[in-house]
Amino acid sequence: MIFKRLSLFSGLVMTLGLFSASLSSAQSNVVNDVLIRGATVLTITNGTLQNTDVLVQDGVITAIGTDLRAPGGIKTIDADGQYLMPGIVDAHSHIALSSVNEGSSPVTSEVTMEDVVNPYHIGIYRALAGGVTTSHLMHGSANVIGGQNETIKLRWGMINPDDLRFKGAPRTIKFALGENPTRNHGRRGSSGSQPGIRPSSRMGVEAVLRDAFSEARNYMREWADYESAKLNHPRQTSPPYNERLEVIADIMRGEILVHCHSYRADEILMLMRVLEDFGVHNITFQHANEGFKVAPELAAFGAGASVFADWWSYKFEVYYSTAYNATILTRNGVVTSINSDSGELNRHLYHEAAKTQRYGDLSDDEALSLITINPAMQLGIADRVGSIEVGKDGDLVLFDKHPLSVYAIAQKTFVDGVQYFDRETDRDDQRLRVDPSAKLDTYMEQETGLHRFVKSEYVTLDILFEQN
Amino acid sequence: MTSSHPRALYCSTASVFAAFLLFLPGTAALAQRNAPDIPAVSGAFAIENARIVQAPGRVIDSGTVVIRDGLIEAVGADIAIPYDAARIDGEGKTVYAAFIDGLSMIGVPKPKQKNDLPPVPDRSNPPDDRAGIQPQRDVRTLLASDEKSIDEYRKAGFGAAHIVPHGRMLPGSGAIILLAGENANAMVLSGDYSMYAQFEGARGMYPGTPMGMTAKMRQLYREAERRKAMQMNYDQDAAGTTRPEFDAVHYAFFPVIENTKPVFYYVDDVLEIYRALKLRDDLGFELMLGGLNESFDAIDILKSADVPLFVTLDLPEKPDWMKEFKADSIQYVLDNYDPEERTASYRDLEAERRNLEARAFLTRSRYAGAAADLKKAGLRFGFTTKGVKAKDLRENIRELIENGLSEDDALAALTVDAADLLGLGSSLGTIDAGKIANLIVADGDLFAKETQYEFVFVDGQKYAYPKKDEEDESTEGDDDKDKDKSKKDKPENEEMRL
Repeated sequence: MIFKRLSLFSGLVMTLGLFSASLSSAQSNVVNDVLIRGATVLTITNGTLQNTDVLVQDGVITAIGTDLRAPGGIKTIDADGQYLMPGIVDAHSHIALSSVNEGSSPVTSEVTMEDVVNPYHIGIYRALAGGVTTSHLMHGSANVIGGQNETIKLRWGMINPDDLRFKGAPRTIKFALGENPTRNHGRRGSSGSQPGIRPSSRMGVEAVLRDAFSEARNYMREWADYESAKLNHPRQTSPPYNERLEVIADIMRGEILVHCHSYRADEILMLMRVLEDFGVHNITFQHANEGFKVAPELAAFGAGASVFADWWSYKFEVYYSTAYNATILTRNGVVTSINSDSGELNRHLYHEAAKTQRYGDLSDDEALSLITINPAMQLGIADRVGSIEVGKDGDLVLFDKHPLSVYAIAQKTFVDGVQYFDRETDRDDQRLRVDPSAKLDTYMEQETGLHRFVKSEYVTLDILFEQN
Repeated sequence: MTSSHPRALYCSTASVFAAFLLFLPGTAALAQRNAPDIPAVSGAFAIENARIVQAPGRVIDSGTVVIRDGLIEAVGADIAIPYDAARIDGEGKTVYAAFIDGLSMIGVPKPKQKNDLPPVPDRSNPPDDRAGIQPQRDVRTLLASDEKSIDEYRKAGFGAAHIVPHGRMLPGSGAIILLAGENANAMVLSGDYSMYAQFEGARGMYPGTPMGMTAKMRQLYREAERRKAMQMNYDQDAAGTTRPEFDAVHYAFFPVIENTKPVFYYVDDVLEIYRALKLRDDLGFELMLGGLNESFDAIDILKSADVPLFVTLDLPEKPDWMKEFKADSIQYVLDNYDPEERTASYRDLEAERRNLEARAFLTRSRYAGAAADLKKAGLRFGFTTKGVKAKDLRENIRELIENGLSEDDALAALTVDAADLLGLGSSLGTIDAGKIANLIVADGDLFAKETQYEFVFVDGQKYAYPKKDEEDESTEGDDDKDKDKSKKDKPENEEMRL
């Protein structure tokens, strides 16, 4: 290595320079043109195209066809025998966040995940390795009206949080019904040792919602009255400014899409009634494990549902569930997606989508729509991502097998035409930074909790892994 | 801005009597203890034959500094020593401007943790003081001149500091103090200097998270803007106008909204840097930043931000394994670092461990090199000691120097640049006639491990910190022994020894 002859500290500085240069190369010298040749292209919206080229220029898909001519020097990838699909859109995620729940109040519409995006979180890279290119970073479910969410693109290596934002994506906000908000606010402490506040019941949840919307409606009226009175009486006293109610007012103005944590059919119907009363129509129910029971009602309301493929029974309100949920919702005309809500599940959402073929016989396009164009519609970004079409963003993922096969492994992932994941060439340690005060734990030690392996121990583990 | 410089220059009968008493062996300390307000005969000192670093790069090889009544009266190679000045032989010593701390809690007693507070009735809407929203507090009212941290940091070379209250999200307003003075008022150079803010959430109540705090800051600021407009309205013509209701928290924002008082944000990591800058951009206040851990990842945005910066002198704590490493082993690890390594973890654990070691060392050097990186980017900055023990300061500064910061740049950040960035350039930061006499008299290179700051002058008052071995020798004399004890918190009264 070249550092050999250098003194300790110049060695440090030199190594450092090389290191940061290699990490930031994606930013300073962005290559966002790419030609992917000869793949089986799963367009989602226009069927499957065999042996087809896809050209991305300046981050946008500019051509789809055979034997495409591309400008000289453009990066070309031979994808013969591989499968190209649009980057996966995860409609429910909590990766890459410094904080998730401002759980101190039943209504916290004023907080926004935009303020706490953490571009260093390794979850971004891991999601890329699962073919995800867009994640909906949501506030937690501690509050009836939680914070505003943030839709990001997984531009791994960008360190300014602003650079990860999905520019132009509509604002969204988290609501939550049922056990989480009632447990968090209504029943504090093991035996009610701390004072609880509303809501402590499902009725209380509805009351919190109605109060919040009513307050916001009054707030809008007060300000409207003030603005008109000011024309004649310029010295009029203005009503107090309220950031929280401003945001709820924006929901009623149709500027913010609601994404609501929910499980039971009764609470899903309740929220639709409340929203109807306050003229709000942009709603996607998250989880919605009992969505299948009210699928026609959801479809009639125009509500979306973003569900798990087969995950339930982790608390009382989530027992009544079925793996046919996504299929039943789809068959009833509900725009349905499958999300991860997890830094592990988001690495195999294509497997999750495939489960709907085992439980419900969805077609390939229908199954893949659950993790691409449908979540894109729920997030209001379907004009930009979710399918492979000319004019859409160059968010693409290349698989070695059909992504609905259990043998499929993501090989390369592109966001805006920039390659952020390469299974073949990425190094072991892809972290953007490490904690200089941390213990010196190897990955195996972190995962197993065993420290200071003796040789025989990792031979055993070696065998364990070889069997995969 | 208030300014307070009570100077000790009287010649009363009491002092003459006290001086007379001094001729009686063994009574000096007694006199000092029994009558602590006995003033000095003269407020003048002359440090002669010393090397004088007036400012980084501006050096007098052998010269004199004359101090009188708290100010530097004269400095130069050829200065007449006034008859009434107490002389200090500077032979073999170097005089530097004393350091300025861009942000700290020096002199502010840490409030006792109150564990018996009753739970708030509604944690979604707690009282402001419980939520840590106390911008109306003034650190001047919390300052205690007998706080031991004052002497600790003074001993480490600090003469002035921007101090702020302890607290959470909005602890109160900061002040510039001198690290000397008989009482808190006498220490204050400039009050109501800044609105101090940090990302310290309320415990178990609103706002508890970074996003809660940014939202609360926007709410407070925008509502304060509205209230200010209402108040102005009322002040112009009260007749027929509803009386605006006073509240201390929002009214504390008025000077911030007028841009006559900056918000001084402590930012502990790179994401907090982005958060504070975004709040500034959204709301439009004047911003100063302290801490700036991980600034190496925010150089570009800091360059365009145009904000005074006060970089932490704290460094990441070394984990146990790192402490055990010897220097030559570090070199070995770095030599064998392979960032492109692609071996499954379980196949070669030792290779992975070596890489992890190397990355941890490289990362630490990024933290220690952060100040040098800012300098390279053309940014001026001061330092903050917040969170750093006084005894660790010099070692940490040396590590910054080892990682690329020049000694002159370190000195500049501790003195002249800090003074300029705090708006104190005309009174502090260099050794020039007319400035406040805050000086270090060192027996060697400023940052060298073995160097002793034998005297630190603050506000023209002399504090002696003799070397340990000298101290031991001097304990042989009875009155010296007592004197050493008593001088800890008090300027040594030179005339007492006459």
